[in-house]
Amino acid sequence: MPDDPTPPAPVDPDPIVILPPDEPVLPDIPTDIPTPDIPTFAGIGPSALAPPETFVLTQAVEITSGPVGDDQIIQSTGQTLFGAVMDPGSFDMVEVSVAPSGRTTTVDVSPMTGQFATRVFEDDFGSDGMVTVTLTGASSVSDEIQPESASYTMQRALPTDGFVQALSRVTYGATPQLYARVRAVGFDTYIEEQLNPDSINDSFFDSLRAGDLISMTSRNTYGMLDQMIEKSLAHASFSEKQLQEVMGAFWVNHFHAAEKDRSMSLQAVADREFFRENAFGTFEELLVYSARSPLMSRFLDNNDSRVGNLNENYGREILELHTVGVDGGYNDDDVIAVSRVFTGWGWEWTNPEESDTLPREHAFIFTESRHDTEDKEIPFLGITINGREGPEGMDEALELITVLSNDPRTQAFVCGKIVQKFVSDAPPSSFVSNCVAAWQASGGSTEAMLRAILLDPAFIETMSLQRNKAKTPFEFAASFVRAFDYLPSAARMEQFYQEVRESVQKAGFNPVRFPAPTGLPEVGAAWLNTHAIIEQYKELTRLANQADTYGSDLQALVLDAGLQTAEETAAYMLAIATADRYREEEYEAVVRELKGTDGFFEPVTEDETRAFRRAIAIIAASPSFHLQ
Amino acid sequence: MHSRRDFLRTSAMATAASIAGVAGAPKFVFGQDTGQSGPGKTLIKVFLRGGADGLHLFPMVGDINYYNVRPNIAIEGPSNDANSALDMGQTMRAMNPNLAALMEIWEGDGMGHGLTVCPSTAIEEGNRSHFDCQRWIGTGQRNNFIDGYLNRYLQNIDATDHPLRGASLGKTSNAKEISGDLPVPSVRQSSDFVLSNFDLCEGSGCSDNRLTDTMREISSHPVVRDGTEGQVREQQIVLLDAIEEVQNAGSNYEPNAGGLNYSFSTLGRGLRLAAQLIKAGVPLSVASLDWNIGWDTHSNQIAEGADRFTDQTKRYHSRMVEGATDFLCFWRDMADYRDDVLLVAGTEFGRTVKENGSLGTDHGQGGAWFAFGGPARSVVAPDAVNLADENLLSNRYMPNVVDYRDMIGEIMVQHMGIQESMLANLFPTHQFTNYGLFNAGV
Repeated sequence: MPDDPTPPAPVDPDPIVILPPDEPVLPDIPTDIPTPDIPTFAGIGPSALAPPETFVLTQAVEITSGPVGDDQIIQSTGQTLFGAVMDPGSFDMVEVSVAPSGRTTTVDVSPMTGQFATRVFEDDFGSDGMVTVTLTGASSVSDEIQPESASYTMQRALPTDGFVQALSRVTYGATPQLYARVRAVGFDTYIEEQLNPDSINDSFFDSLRAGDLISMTSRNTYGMLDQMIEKSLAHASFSEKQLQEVMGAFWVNHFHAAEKDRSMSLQAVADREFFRENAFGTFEELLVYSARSPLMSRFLDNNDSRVGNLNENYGREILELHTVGVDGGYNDDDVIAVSRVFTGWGWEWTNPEESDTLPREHAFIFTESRHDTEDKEIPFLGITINGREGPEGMDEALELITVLSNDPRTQAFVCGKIVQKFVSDAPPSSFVSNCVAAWQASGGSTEAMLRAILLDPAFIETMSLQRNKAKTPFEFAASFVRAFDYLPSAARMEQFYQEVRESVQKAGFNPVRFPAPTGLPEVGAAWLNTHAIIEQYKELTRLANQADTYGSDLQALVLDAGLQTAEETAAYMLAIATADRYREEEYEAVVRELKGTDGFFEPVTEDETRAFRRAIAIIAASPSFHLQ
Repeated sequence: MHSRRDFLRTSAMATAASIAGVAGAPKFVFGQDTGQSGPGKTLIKVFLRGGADGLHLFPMVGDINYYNVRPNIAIEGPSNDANSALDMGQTMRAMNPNLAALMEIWEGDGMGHGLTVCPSTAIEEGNRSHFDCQRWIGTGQRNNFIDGYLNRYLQNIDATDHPLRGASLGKTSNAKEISGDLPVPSVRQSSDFVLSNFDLCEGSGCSDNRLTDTMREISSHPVVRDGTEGQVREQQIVLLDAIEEVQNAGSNYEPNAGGLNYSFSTLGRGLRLAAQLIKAGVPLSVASLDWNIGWDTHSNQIAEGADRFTDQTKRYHSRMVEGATDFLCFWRDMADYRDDVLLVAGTEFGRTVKENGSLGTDHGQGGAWFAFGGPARSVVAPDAVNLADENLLSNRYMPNVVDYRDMIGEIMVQHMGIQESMLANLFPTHQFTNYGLFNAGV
């Protein structure tokens, strides 16, 4: 087992950087996406996690962090306002009133730092895009102390820094550290880093030895499939190579092959690793790998297909699911011709002599005697694959794979799925055509396609494309681990992954055992049903009860960030959990649970573990946490 | 047409009324002016996912072509051999021996109820893709973007007002046929359909459940949200309402089925829950269930050895037995409700008429559907004349003799009591043909 790892130290929030306003850049917004009528936010706003470390107060009560520039610009999607009172001995609370929404609330002032936090929500702005927040320092104990007020009128602007997409789509969700990292380097640089996984220092993840989660013995062929999910959860939760993990999960699901019994578990593990390691590879090499995989050959019966006695299963699905898509224009004759091309492609068991000690290993073989050596006309592709005898018969299918990989219908279908994964359940056509263009220019490089999609300014500037996808159960669980900074000790590691994995499986997400060759749905809405929701909430709110057992110490993180009140803490937790996109009613519920029934939240002097546990459970069951 | 917003608003208001304990709280009725739905009728729709081989479920033992095109996997006509097909008293069709439990239903209850078999049924637009065909059977036409037909039924025809008037039961997801603008719950089983959290419970038995109370407070917030966020909130409300109703129906349930009990399969769970809810008085109108046993038999559709068709170590066989027994259990369990509860089962397509090179069959067109309860009586619907090439679709597939929309349509009219003119709402592109399969009391 690995040594007990030490969690990485939280990174202090960066000082505020205010960039000079740029010329407004009009994004190349696709025709099918409406342009919001709100100005864009130039540059990077202040941290949503914590106020600046030092500030000078000039008023009795004052905002220290939030609005930017002379125009007092804040994010149209909501902005946390950090503030402070000069004399916390007198003012132990701040009454907040918001115009024009008329919302009022009262927030605590830290008796030690004099700081407080409140928030402007998306709904608070008037139709003119303005909001006025009046802060009144007051005392909850003495009538003698004269309240003092300050008013701030602020203007909304659309945040276009890309952080929300980096923390929602490119990764399995924010962590406190990732939030700081993306702020430090900016969106574009972060994407480039992620597209070069070899350059990423992942030593912390390596130290966790996630590979040890899979035990490769002959007696474990069933458990191995569960352990494979646990290893993927480890990668998704703790590896810095986040985009590689997201994309690897996409490819293994695109080329989905299920275990039919318990004989090919090792192959399933090997395939999962291949698609992770080659997540940014070319489509053609991924398709060749999939076509040769013994797991795929067995799953879709290609091994049973031979000259004169065809099995059309793989021949149909390689067209419908892996390449041109169901609307690719093929008919039953094409399916038969493609099936004939693939005759002879199969697998063999390579280690029967070790069957007592090791799980079964398999390898691709081409069996000449099973191959159909006639010419195959494939009408919908407009080609004839020349029949070949002997070992060259195998090359027919490789030739076909090349044709399919270069077919615009394949490119549009697969790009559509990638765009659906990263951009929107309903893939906008402009992103798909950019992806196809990148495919054609790069010979099918996934890296090039992702760059075209993710670095399209519309990806980060179009509000309707943000936080509009529901998480799959896997994404839900991984983002939970990340947002609330779980990190179990080595001794509890196995138990931890087992519990998280069960939450995913009980919700219906069970890769490798999923029987349909479509793979699991990538469309978030497919997972919005009461069964999946209740299972995820049951299991993960139970993990919330065990936050302290499994190494989540948000109290320490919050104190390190200089935060002490329930409102500051709620803003911190929600900013990470939702990429700073949440609603007033969610925020108020978290504040209420942090304060508990006695109404006091005192992380400096008390052990507030239970309060954090309650807050984690409430956030996990919040609609905004379900989005990415 | 009721939108999601209407539903959410209605649901939130109904909730507020029930919390306040207001007697005679206003009822919000959907589609109230149609008044089409018969009182207390239930339609249970079971999907056999994977493309079940209708020629194997109900083999065409009266046709020599059947044995010619399936030299290895054709089932012998009825005889004393346990591997032979079961005699339904029909010239052409008999029953797979693993479905023996269905024979009790086929023989009928003496009160007119029985088993209706549609042996060559499909969606005419079928293209032999599992996923398209499942989806299009769900939407009722070759269209990926409209609501499921059972969802449209709930939106526009059904007048029941209850959180469980439509549901997916036993499954872990919602089928396309019942999904749509009106959110419906999916409940896997009643025993663990509860949500509470140790740190957010007060009172004995978590009588003060702050987790679910907070979820309801947030999700029924008066500002209605669009898009996915709005959908999450709707689903939460649907979930919370469904939890209450399922708990009201009790968590322990024993069927009254002459010693039979439901299995723990997706089908068994769904049928158990359906029976439990119906007996508890829940006005369940439509429910969507699955019977998935590995129907996609591209290879090895039969066992090796003497018991080729019945060897119970082969899962395809044992799970067919399990499912047929679940159906029989439900038939018996619903004895007092048989007039009001109809179950219909069907698949996305049948399989190739000829066997393939690996003792299996590939994707085809017509498949076997069946129904029991309500006005279903023991008949075999119109079928292919025989399996000669010229009677097949593209010389390879069972034809679409009775379109599934005609089968469901007739059930909707004869059992659910809707007017025939309303079928255009469920199946807008389909011209209804009445085959007279479900004439009650005949």
